Amino acid sequence: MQVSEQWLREWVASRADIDTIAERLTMAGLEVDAVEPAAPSLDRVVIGRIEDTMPHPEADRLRLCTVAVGGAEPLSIVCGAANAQTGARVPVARVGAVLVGGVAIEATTIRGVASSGMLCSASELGLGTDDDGLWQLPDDAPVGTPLADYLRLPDHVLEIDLTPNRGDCLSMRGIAREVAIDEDLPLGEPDVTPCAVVSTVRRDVGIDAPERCAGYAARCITSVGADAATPLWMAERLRRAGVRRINLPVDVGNYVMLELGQPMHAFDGDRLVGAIRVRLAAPGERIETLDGETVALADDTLVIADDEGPVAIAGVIGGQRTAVDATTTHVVFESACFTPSAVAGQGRRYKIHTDALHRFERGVDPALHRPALERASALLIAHGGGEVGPVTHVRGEPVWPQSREIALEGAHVERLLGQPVAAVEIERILGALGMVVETTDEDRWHVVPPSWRYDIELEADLIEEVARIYGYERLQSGTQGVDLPPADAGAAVDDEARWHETLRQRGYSEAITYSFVEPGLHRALMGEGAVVALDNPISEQYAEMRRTLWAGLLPSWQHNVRRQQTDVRLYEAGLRFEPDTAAEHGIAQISTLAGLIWGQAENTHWDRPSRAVDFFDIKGDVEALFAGVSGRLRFDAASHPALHPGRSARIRLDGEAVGWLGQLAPEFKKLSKKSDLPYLFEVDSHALSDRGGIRFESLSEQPRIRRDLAVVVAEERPVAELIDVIEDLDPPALQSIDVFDVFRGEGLERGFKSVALGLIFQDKASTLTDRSVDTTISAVVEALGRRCGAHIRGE
Amino acid sequence: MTTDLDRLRSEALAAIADAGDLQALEAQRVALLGKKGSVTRRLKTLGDLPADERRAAGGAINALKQELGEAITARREVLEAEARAQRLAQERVDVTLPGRGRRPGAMHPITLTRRRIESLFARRGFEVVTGPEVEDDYHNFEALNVPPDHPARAMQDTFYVDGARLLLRTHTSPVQIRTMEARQPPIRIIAPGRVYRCDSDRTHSPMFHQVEALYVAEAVNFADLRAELQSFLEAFFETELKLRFRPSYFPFTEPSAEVDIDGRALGTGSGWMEVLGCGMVHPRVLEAAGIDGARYTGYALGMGIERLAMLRYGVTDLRQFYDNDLRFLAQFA
Repeated sequence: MQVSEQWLREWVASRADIDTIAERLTMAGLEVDAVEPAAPSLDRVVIGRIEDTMPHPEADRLRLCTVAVGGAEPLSIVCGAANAQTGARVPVARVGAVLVGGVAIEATTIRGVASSGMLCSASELGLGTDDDGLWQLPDDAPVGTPLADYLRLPDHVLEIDLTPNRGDCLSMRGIAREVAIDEDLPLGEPDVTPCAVVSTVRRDVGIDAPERCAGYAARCITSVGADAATPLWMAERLRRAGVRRINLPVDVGNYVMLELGQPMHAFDGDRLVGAIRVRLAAPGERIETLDGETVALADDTLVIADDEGPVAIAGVIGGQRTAVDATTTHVVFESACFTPSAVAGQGRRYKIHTDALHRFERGVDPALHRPALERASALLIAHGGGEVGPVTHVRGEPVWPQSREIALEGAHVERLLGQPVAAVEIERILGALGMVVETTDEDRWHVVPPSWRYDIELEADLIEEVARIYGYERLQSGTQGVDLPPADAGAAVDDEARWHETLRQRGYSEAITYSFVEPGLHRALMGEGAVVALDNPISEQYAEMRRTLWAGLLPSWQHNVRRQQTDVRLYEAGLRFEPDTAAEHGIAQISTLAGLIWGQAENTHWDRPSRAVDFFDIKGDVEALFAGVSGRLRFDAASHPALHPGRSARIRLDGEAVGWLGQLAPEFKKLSKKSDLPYLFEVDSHALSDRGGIRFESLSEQPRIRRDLAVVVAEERPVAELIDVIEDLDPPALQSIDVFDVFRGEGLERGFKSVALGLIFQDKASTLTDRSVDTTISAVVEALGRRCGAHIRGE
Repeated sequence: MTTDLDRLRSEALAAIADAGDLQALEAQRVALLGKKGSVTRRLKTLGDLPADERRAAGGAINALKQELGEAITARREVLEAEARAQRLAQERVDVTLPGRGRRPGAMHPITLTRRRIESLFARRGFEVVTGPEVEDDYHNFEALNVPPDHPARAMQDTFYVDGARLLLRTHTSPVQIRTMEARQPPIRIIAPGRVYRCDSDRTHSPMFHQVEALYVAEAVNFADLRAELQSFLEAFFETELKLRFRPSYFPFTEPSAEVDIDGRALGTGSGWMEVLGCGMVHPRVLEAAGIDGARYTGYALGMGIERLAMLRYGVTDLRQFYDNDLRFLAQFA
């Protein structure tokens, strides 16, 4: 909302300067974003009259104008505008003026002819964009007067960022009301004296949807001067409010909207056929709107129709068929109260946003449309002439069918704000806001909000008004002994801290990537399948909710590789989204931790060559994440569309599948020019959380015995199976099993490998004898032979 | 005899002093004091002397033996010290060469900031609670007093999912609702997490992070909220701050305020800087969640983590948070 200071001061005689007014409005909840001058400097720009023109002797398109600027000699100015005609009153930038963009006007010679100044268009002066050559000022514009004086400059424009609850402030009157309260000043009243009715031309109005239209007033004004000019002062006010000029009837409607907050519409009465009906659109109806779009109307859209169909989308935009133009002499003004629910959603549906819609969807004062119509009528006939007809005023259902009375208690004010506010202050504030305040008991009131405040329904709304006007800064701050005992922030916070620290210490840095990902890469990584897709992504690149965090980590890896990183370790924690009928909303939102490593296994060091990362680097990282987690961790060879089939594993915890790890599959070669592809892991965060509590076991003082076995098995036999077989035997006193070598080649049959296992034994209570360990080892060797086809190397 | 012994003494001492290493010294020791050593031999031949000379000669030889023994020990210590020094010199490393092992990575500045906020609130008794990011309209809007087609919805451009059946939460406030639906006051939570708005330019990211705090109990009021925020923000920025509570509008709080910080305290200039929004929980929100508004009141506040991270670390371009450039991340190690 742009508010002219000058216009505002006509409504309220504030003694404060503009910056103070801006500060007070901000601190009353009407945030002033900026206070700007209403126009650039117009120093040495005066009103001139073109006395004479003659062709430029050297240039066809230029003319030599003699321009009176009051006082001494007329000026001789070369001008190229087509409308530089004798008699025209136009702005003249005299020598020494500096126009917008720093254009300095100097005495100069144009193609051999002296020119001392410049005749200006509105846009050259920074006062408009609609440019048809020179700015033609009215015939009574006083020659020689500085243009700034004529335009009543300087002025300031307040740019106010209104919150959606304050539709009542979308007018000069509404803003002035807020300013007046602060200084306890009287508020100006609009002149809404009924116009003398001199014509009988009227229009019937019917409301078929009374719950959507609280009232509709229409008036015909005939014999209006075709293409009558909008007065300069009105045009200037529209400009300062940021509203484009159209023609007199439309400008008058917009002016009244800016002044009072009532959106108006002007129809061309000669193009409006029969009676006006306020009704829902009929199936299949279409309308060509004022902005030239033809839209198909939905059947819950409220329209204004004549006998031939819709002529406006009610409260949103008018139709082209009945538009006012330069030939219009019969104006029908509409001033109506459409309810917020009547226009709700229409802007989004038709992708139209208008000043009228903006106001109606926030609520327009239902008591306003009738007086506003008088204001508009008076302005139109004052500047365009015409004969005023009678008003047709039809009412629908009231906006508030029930009493709006709200009970307010001083004790509740104190309860919410933490301090009492004096009764006299409460009454003053609410009264000044236009509320009817009736005292029912000591510190108890019944309050009825004014018709322009749609946002006041509950006691809390009243308390907020009291607080806002009283001033938040005047309210005290400080807790009054509310007990805040310390609480556990939650186990999840500790789990999270642990994995961040584990990965960070292993060289990973944390990435945060968008939860929506590129469908091509996403589907390649996860295979085809159901996904959660966005209806309205910001771009196709971010159209689907990720089923894997790899879809974000891989682009981050590419970003870093392209910046010559030789060593990338990234991890991310966040949700992944899997369609799942069993989950709330049919989407499982799974807390997930994922990582990526690529490049060197260690930081470059001076005493040994760097080595590229491999599967066992990332597996070690995953094992470190699970350190301390209760349950049996397993890695099973398994295939995943994103991963190399020979280098990928399903991670299982106590048999439950909780994640994946492996190398990115060769199909993704195209992601990078580098020859090696990254290794990835992804685990469900919940699997990292079950630590089952720590239970201390007493330490054994007995000596440890280690036995090494080199067993030969078929190449395809996973080492984990050998360990499983040994663990299944549950050998007495076995503490741990180390895999300390895997050998292939000389001395071994092709297709076989030798696996060196170190078995460590230690008994809690007694010293182990070689004999008992030998017995155990024999059983182990027997079981490995029987179940895995293994034999001791060299036997 | 004496002369002979004197000569032996001077030769032996010279040989000990000449021994260049421990091996040579040991050879000298054997040659002098060993079983067949020259001194030992003289002791053995004492018996050949007349009895009256024997005592004197014995004393002299024993004195020599002791003296040479001491000289050898002294020399050994010197040689051992030299040998140790030599060995240590050989074992010397260049202590300025870089150490081995992997350098740690870095947590993301958003996470650092979030965890800092969490820990400051945890000390005040707030529990960390999370919720789904794909939400329904009820929890994201309606229960927060934003009915369908309310103009306040235009304040937050929403991503819709599945033909508008669902949406990506536009704020962390739905977690308030879910928490209040599940438990009764006193409730004291903070809800950090990702939020989404269909808006992308230099100063807007379609995904960003918020932290929501909610405190509902008997007799919680606006003065408590102001005091809480003052102490939280001062703890967060580690400096005294001048705050401004400016009336504003959020459908789910009333009264509502935006909180501005006087930029001078943070070195960002003299203007007011908006940092967060807050207010007293709207009676309709309490009601929708099944909490007795006649008995309980509450406050809620919400802040953008990126905003606080930018102020704390001096990051100026929002988009850098999501590039995951290792050169950027490494600065937060």
